[in-house]
Amino acid sequence: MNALTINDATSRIKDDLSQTPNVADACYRVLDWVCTQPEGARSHVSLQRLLKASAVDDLSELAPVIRYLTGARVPLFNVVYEFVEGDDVERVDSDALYEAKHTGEFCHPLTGEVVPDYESKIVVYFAVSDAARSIGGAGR
Amino acid sequence: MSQSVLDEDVPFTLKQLRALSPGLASALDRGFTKSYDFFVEKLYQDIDEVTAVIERGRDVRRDDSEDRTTEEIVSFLIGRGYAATANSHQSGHCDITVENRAGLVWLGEAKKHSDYDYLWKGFNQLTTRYSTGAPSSTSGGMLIYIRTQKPASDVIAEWRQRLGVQALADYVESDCSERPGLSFYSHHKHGVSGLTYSVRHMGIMMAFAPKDDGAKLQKKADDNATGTPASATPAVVDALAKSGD
Repeated sequence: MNALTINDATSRIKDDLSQTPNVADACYRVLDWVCTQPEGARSHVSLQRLLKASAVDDLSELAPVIRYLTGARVPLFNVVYEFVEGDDVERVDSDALYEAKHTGEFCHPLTGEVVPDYESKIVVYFAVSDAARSIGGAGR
Repeated sequence: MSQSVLDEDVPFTLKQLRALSPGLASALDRGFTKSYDFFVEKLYQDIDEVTAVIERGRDVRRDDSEDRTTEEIVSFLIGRGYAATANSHQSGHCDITVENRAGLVWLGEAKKHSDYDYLWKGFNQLTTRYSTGAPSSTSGGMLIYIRTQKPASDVIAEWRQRLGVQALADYVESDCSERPGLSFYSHHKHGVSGLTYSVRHMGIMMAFAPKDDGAKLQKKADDNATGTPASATPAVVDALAKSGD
């Protein structure tokens, strides 16, 4: 996996998002915010934190920012899905959720039993990706 | 959305997120899937979205070259997080190459429709020159820019019929439920990998020949202007606005 540097990220945002300056600015703000975060905070980033860091007005405006920052050009974040039921917490692969969406059935990661209303038991957050590990410590 | 939900720093469930922002919930799952079917399904949703933008604005794009339209599509896909390039080297210069974080690849060949031999040439470039048909790249696309007087669905129907009588190994075709009549799928045994290779043939409607009064004014302005887009002429803009009354 190629490492993503702060210079890579900023120059790609500039090149790729010139037609959508609002999205580009929000991406820069998120990038700056990530730079200031301690190691421990980078593995569990909620949507609410990204909303505040990006300074966009609502979740719909956050969508293009997240699409870009989880994509192939600037893979700053991984999306993390966890199945949470009682004390059980298990990571879930996004492809398992794709299958579930198509089949309508999600199987419990440990028991294999079909879980009714599974989307109410899957939580979503973000983690700074391994590729972006070198980003941090200083602002843009 | 209630402010309290956003103030709390606890993770959303997928169900909450779908209710609060379906667009964001959909945006989450594009980037790094390892499932080729999932990758292609989402990619086609994105291509359909930019296609709709191009078709709605076909009046201002009527003089655009094949390459310019392709660049517009590529720029849109880059904004969606794909590593998309125009004219990248793939045993030649493939018009569109799209890759996700997991290294899944889709190739597209763009052709401004002039005749069916030209489309056949593009199909052969895509399937015999650029693609390998490897498991990480088992689909491609033909983007057919249609500016002819013949309606787009007729062009696609004839292209489908002509493709169907070619001697492609294990050939099967299927309808496209997202753009019925304007797109379809072909599937055949890829000559390099020997695996099934699927191609989505996408007709993109770019003909613009209105017959109302505004169109006459526009044409007159076009005739008078030399090298200046008529849409930039204030008088014509004004006349066009009034013609809609």
